[in-house]
Amino acid sequence: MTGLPPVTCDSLLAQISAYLDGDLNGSACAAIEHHAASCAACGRVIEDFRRTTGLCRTAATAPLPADVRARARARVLELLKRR
Amino acid sequence: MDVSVTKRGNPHLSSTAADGDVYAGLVRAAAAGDATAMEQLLIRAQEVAFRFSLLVCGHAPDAEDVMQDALMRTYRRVGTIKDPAAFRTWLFRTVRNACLMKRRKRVDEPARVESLDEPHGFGHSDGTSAPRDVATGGKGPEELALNAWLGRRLRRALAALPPAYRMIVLLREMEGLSTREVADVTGMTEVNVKTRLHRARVMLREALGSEDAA
Repeated sequence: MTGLPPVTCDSLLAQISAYLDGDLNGSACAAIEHHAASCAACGRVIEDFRRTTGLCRTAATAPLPADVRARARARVLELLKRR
Repeated sequence: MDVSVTKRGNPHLSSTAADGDVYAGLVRAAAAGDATAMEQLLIRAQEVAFRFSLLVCGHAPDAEDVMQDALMRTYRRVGTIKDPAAFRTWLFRTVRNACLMKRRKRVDEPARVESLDEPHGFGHSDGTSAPRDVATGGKGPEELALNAWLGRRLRRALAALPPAYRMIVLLREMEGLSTREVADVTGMTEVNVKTRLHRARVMLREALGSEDAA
């Protein structure tokens, strides 16, 4: 007995976004972590979600194509020159 | 395996407030006459427009027009902003509206209007959605740019999402808006934003897994 709320693989998948986004309370988080520590499949699911989020965030910080940036900058300079 | 991933431990979530602060700082400085800040803000506005237009709307020819629109609206707006912290939400809402307007003006698509708000945006009777340019387009410069920007793997995975889900992923995961901000931009409830984000993450994971297996 852990005293934690029961977690199944299905319920973990349903709650995983709330877990990763910090929307669950400490007890619910601990229950998910307890389940994932003993369930390799769910551990992988959490890692996959985490990696997916990271992939998106990394892409967002990548610079835009050089020609797009050059056109954007040229438009700004043209606008500021006119004011 | 370390699975103790929490909001506090997730670096991808901690950037949300910081990003908003950067925009607010640029707005304040630009409004006070800082030319460098104004320049940076106007470039950022166009970058936002480019990413949204190409990734969510998936119509490459619109991107330049939407960038121009974001540029001019931001320039006119800066001097009148009362709440710099709300600027970022305003910018995304403006870009989203510009994309919608471009879509409505396109004369060749009235029969298959792609909604940005409905999960199955093409209005197919079977409820399915077909990825558009962002997924299956040819080898035009914008498509190649998307590959270069996102990487072919992530681009294909995102392309498998309905446009409404792509919009949530872009705003929440890529641009770092909070759930509340995404709700403000899209007009959805926060619960709806969370639900769609979760479904999108599930679909993305499956698509990325398929890419790995391919």
